[in-house]
Amino acid sequence: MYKTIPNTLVLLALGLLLSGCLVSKPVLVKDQRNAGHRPLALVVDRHRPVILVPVKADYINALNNEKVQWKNYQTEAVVAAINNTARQLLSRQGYQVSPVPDSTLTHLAQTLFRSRLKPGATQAIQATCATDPRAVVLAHYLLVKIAGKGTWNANTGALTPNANTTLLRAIVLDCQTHLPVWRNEVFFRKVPIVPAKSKEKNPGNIVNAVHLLYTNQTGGKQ
Amino acid sequence: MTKRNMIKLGLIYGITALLVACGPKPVKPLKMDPHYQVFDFKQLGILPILDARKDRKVNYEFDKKLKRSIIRLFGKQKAYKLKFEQGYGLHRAINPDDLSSPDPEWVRRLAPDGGARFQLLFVIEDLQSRLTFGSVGSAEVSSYLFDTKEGRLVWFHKGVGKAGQGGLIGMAMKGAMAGMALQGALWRLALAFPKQGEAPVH
Repeated sequence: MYKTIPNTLVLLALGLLLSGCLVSKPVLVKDQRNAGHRPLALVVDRHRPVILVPVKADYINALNNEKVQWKNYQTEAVVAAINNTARQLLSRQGYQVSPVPDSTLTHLAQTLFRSRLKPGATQAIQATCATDPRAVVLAHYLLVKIAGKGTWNANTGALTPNANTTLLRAIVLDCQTHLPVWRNEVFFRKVPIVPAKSKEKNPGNIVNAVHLLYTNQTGGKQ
Repeated sequence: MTKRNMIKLGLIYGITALLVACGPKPVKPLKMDPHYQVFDFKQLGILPILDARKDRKVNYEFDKKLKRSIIRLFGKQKAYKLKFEQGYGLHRAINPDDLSSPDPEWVRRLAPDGGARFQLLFVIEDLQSRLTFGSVGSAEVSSYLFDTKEGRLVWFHKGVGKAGQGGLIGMAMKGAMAGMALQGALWRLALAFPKQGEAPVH
């Protein structure tokens, strides 16, 4: 009896710990509104060139919506990873992707997801499409909400969770009508991590998110 | 007055001042229309809660379970007469991206017939609850106050709430964490909402 009780307790505690570790993994979630209504993967006429505008990234404090700047977030590397991965993925799918170095649309990326475009956004689309009116414009918006790290008070046992979240959104706009042709978004509960040097082993969560954005996968654990 | 009484009185004043100073202070909202100098309206319409979460893994009956907290925080503490616009769903058709700069026409149509002029909308941005060595929960709630007569967004603020408890007791409490985090978020949100008849912090 004395031998079996401690073993059972140890097994129980280990089981609870493992189950805790398993369920606490962040989950990648695709836009719920797209499910069943629109195709998840990008479907645009492959003869139409895709103008890729630079990614707009906002890192904000979830408590007060103020911008957060910290070099450890490696914002520039994250933005570059999104641009490169999107370009490579779409090229592989047969799209003719032509990135533009700078666009007013980048600064307006946040407003492109509204029901009605701002007048400035319409002009920016026209300016971006000036080279080829048959094209479509692809814009990304990255919103990272920083809400502090998880803590544990050893005296009271109180825990606070890590509530950082990342939302990566993409929208394709028609150059002629200025209307959205396709949109999608991926949400996960971590700060974006840039790819490690050995990309094969650790591509970084942001690269995985871009893959999810442009494929028919329905999301999963990361 | 004797010297002893003076000391007692001084102590009472001191402790009262300390309690007032340590108590919750009005918070500056994230957005406040300067056109509204005083919140002198008495009736406040409460629209059904808008669920704008990206991750909807946690099931929660927001309208049913948060009603009591809303009555306590905005009805009793802020002294407004609340009118819950039950079953009214025009606002649910909105794209949450439009809320920060809403169309005035849409705002004018927001109040149902016979509804209050000022309508408060709660938007659940995020809610999570998970098991760790214990359990934790976090919630993010935004709130928008609309003037449906003028078609304006009057006030906007957001609250973030976190809850958690370690150990086996914490694990057993997982189901309650989402609710506790939501209560915390609502409480923080209410700190930035002016009391009836008071001026908002600009």
